[in-house]
Amino acid sequence: MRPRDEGSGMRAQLALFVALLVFVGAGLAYVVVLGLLHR
Amino acid sequence: MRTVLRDNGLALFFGAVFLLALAGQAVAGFHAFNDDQAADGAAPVPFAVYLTSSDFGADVAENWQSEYLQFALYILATVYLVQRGSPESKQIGDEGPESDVDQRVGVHAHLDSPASARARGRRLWWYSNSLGLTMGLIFLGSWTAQAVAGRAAYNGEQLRSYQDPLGFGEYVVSPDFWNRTLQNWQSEFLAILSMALLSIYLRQRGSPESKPVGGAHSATGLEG
Repeated sequence: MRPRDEGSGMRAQLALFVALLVFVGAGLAYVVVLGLLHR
Repeated sequence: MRTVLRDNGLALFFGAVFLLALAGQAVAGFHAFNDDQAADGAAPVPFAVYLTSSDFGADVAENWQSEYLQFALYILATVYLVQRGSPESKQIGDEGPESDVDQRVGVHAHLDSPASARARGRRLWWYSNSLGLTMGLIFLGSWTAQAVAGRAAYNGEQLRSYQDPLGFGEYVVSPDFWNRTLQNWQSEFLAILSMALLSIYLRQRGSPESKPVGGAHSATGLEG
């Protein structure tokens, strides 16, 4: 793999890594807010 | 583009099936919820109302917490415990956090090691445990979310049947909370036990989760 391809590949992986953490964090915050709104 | 797709095949495949399963759960849960409403003589709710209900939130969170607990425990238990003959285990005798040479930290870091592996003290400790800590933190967050949303859902049912709602402290020691929690935990622990034992004698050609097809039954930590 050329270095430029490797750089863009690592950026894509970092984007997936961040997207997962953001999705899970947002999902949990959403569930907590639902619970607090409906208690 | 094709390279990015191939290099991230596992993440993209599981991301896609996760979203499909979550959508399926939402649709099935919506119909089940309205079946209960009908049985109680209550009006059906629109889909958007179900998606913002604590019932849906609690159902999602209770499964998330058990999966993250499973991985957090597996990550930590495999540091200190071994299983002879399992490809999932370290070699017998390697129990524990291992040496700095084996872990490539501090002065033993390689040229391509992450910068935090070259650090010392607190930064190195945090980075050395970041995977287990993150999985554990998401587990605790999911479990808390399950408790908060589960209590709201439980109290909704209590009020519909003219019974007293529970406070948060009362709910987290209630049979409903522990029934939801433990029915998920037992299945996760059984799955890990099965993986640890079945992989000693059974093989899956080409899978890194299995020993090579010709690997000896007694071989430990040998991946395919």
